[in-house]
Amino acid sequence: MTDDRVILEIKNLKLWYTVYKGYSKVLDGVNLTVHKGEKVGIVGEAGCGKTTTVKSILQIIPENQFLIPEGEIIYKGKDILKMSGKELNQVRSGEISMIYQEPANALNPVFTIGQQMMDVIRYSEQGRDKSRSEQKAMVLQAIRDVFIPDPERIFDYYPNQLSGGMKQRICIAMAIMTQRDLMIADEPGTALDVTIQDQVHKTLNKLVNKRNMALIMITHSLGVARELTDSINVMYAGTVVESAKTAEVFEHTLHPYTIGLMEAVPRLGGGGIQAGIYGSIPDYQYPPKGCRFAPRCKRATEQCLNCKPELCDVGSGHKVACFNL
Amino acid sequence: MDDIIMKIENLKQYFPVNKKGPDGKPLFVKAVDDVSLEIKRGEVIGLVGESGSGKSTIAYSVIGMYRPTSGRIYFEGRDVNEKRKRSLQLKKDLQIVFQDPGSSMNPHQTIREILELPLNIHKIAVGKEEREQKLRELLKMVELPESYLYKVPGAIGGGERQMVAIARALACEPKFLILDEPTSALDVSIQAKIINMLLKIQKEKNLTFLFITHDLSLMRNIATRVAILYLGRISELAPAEEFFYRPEHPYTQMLISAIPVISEEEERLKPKRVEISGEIPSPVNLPPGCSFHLRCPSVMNLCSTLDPEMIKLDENHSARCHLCKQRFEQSCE
Repeated sequence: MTDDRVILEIKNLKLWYTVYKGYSKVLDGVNLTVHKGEKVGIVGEAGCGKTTTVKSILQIIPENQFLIPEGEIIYKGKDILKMSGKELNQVRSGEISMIYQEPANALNPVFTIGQQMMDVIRYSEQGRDKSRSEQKAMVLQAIRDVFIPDPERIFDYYPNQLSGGMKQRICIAMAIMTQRDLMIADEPGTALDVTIQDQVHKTLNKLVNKRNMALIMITHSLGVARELTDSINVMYAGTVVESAKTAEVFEHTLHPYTIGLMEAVPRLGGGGIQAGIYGSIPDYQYPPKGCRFAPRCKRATEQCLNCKPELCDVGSGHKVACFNL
Repeated sequence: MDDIIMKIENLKQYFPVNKKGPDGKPLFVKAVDDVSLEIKRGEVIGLVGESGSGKSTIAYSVIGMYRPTSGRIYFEGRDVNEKRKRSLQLKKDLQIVFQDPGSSMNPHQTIREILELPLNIHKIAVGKEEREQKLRELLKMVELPESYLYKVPGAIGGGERQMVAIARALACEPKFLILDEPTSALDVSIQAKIINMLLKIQKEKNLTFLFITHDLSLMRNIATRVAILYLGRISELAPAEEFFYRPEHPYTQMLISAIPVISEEEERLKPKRVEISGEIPSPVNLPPGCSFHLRCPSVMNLCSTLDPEMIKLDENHSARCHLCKQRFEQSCE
């Protein structure tokens, strides 16, 4: 690695899930780069492989269910796919943290918030050798950091005593409690109401900025991505189809899929909604041979059906995978 | 004289919780607390609110899944709950599409069986050939190929399933359709398709829609009038476009400012960023005074003691807020 500003680089990652009689070829060459302190968004429809991509970074997909035929995930110069179990645990417990979509399922219902958060401290680099009272102070500080009043009371609560927004903030607190370099947020606001979502996003944004962490933000909402990220990767059917700085994506949208997505978003100004995108995502067991978006694309030509377009730079770091721009 | 198809008068829907308050009286969840609404024929009326604000409960009371605790619902001038059982004709005229198409259909039935049930019950298109034609027509209306008749819900995608649910609701030719967050479980690209189709059908058949959603920007594009609900009460009622250049209620301003948008023009349409604090309180122990005063950025002393009343700001626009009332009175003087 020559550029030491790059913290994570995914190169041509392919991931197949094993299913009955074959493979479901979900990821088909994902390329993604995250710099230090950068906020990167991954946007796409449901079933595009957004979550699979980030799960493969942490290697938290059950072992016998998948196969990686090709690709590299380079974190700080080391390939995660070639790491030993011990090294991998080091990454999971001290380097990268993750927030899940459903806060209700991410917390264990039979332990109090305090017990669960203490566990994180107890196995972390910074908290391992500290006394119990010092560890508790760290937990309380973390709860305070996510703007929850009265942390002592929350410490003894069970997850079911908290509302959805509170639970998600506890999840954020757990993720930022110890010094991490990269945070992965998998649709942190989707299960919540607009006003609560807004609060959660703001909290997340403030903390990430304060600690100068890198953030990978998964979302299906272009609006959320626009507010929170520095650069956006639009994913479709297991490939990144467009990747650029956030403002650039919204000003000069190039890929037909991104254009379709933008048109489908209802606008505040009114004027009805455009047609959206015809069809649905492909069957991953028998994916289209060429560009995976070709069957739904208005611009598709013979070439699109037969060969897969590469992600190419079209100027000033704006990358698009399409033959017909 | 506008043709009013549905009139909801002081609807209250309380559910008992197995608890007693400090004064020994049983406690209730006040899911819907004194809602009045008039819906004109051919209108698309939107109900918007956070979860727990009672939007779905209103829909379920209208469709007859609950009997109201108090208040009346009139459909075409007649009280829908006057008898213990509703007439078949009334059931035919009011139909509903649920939020989750995966759980609102029997997974063992084919699409054909699903679509035939309302036709059998309401004795529509009884003859064999008529029936075939009707089924084809229904599928054509929601833009699905005929081969789908022989599939089961599990074999088709979420968007297509919702299309079938819509076709099922339209099978018995209703006059009034309730849509309970029909697209919130779906992607934007599919949402756009379903919404456009619904609007087309609405125009063709002159249907009246009661559209429930939590997405204000979607409402802006499809509804004629929007009611914002907060804790079982309407806090503001206005034509859809008016919300965006003249939101009166602080809660509405808060909701609009929280919408993530995708362009600069839209950013300018939003009111100045309102700092959002707190969460929706429990509907069992409602705060005294205005139910919103705990989260309101412009709260006054009056708000914590006196419950504001709904006031008419102009013909179509009304709000339930002390501040709006004061402003309104000042402008009148």
